[in-house]
Amino acid sequence: MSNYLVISAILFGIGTFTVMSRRNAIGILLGIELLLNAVNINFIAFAFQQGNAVGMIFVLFTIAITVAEVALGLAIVILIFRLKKTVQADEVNLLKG
Amino acid sequence: MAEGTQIIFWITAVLLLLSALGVAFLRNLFHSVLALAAVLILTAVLFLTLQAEFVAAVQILLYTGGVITLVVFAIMLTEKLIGERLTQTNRRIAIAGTISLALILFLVYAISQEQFLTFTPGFDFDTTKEIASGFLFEFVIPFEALSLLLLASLIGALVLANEDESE
Repeated sequence: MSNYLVISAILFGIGTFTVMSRRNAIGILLGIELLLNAVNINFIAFAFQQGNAVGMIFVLFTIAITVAEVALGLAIVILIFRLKKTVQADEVNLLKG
Repeated sequence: MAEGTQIIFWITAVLLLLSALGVAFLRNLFHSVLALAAVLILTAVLFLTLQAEFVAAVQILLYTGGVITLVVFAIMLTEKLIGERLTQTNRRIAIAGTISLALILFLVYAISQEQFLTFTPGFDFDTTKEIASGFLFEFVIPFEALSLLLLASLIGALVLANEDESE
């Protein structure tokens, strides 16, 4: 049981690192995928431990929401690319006064 | 847990963490996406060791099939697949590394301190059936809300990415 939690915690840490250190906006989205994946592993591990299917139902919800999130995120990335000709997160400073 | 499941778990776990490091550090963005695909498939294997067959299938179909295709399309539209522009660099590695290492250590410490309630692990029922009845009875309102969310995000993505001809 705690093996799964430790794997998930390490995966979450790597995901945090990816989100913080990547310059490319698509790279940051990949990091968010890692974070959500770590959470899903926790849900399934607890569902297995308690013999309760609600954890699995919740994972299906998070998977569907993640797909919506990625679709919208990539649409925004494409929009930014069209405006600024770049997807480097540092160079997108439209709101800077 | 059975002996064979243990072996599969450890092999999968090591490969999973290596692929995750690949997502974080690989120079080529396209290689990063391939590493993410490996992470998602290996997660599905972990789900199989936890008797969650249906969720593993959904994971491979939706995530590895859907998300990876979307991301590759986005890369195709914003960068050249081959060439200099695809290389990406990391920034503030020291700060980000320190914060995420601290996070990992904190989480592992918390997990090692916690006494989890002991149940008999595993499912003594058909999980796919249980998921289906959950969606149709107990969680029917969130399920319908989710379909609304998917429709909204579909339209939103269309509106955002659509090239406006009138301007």
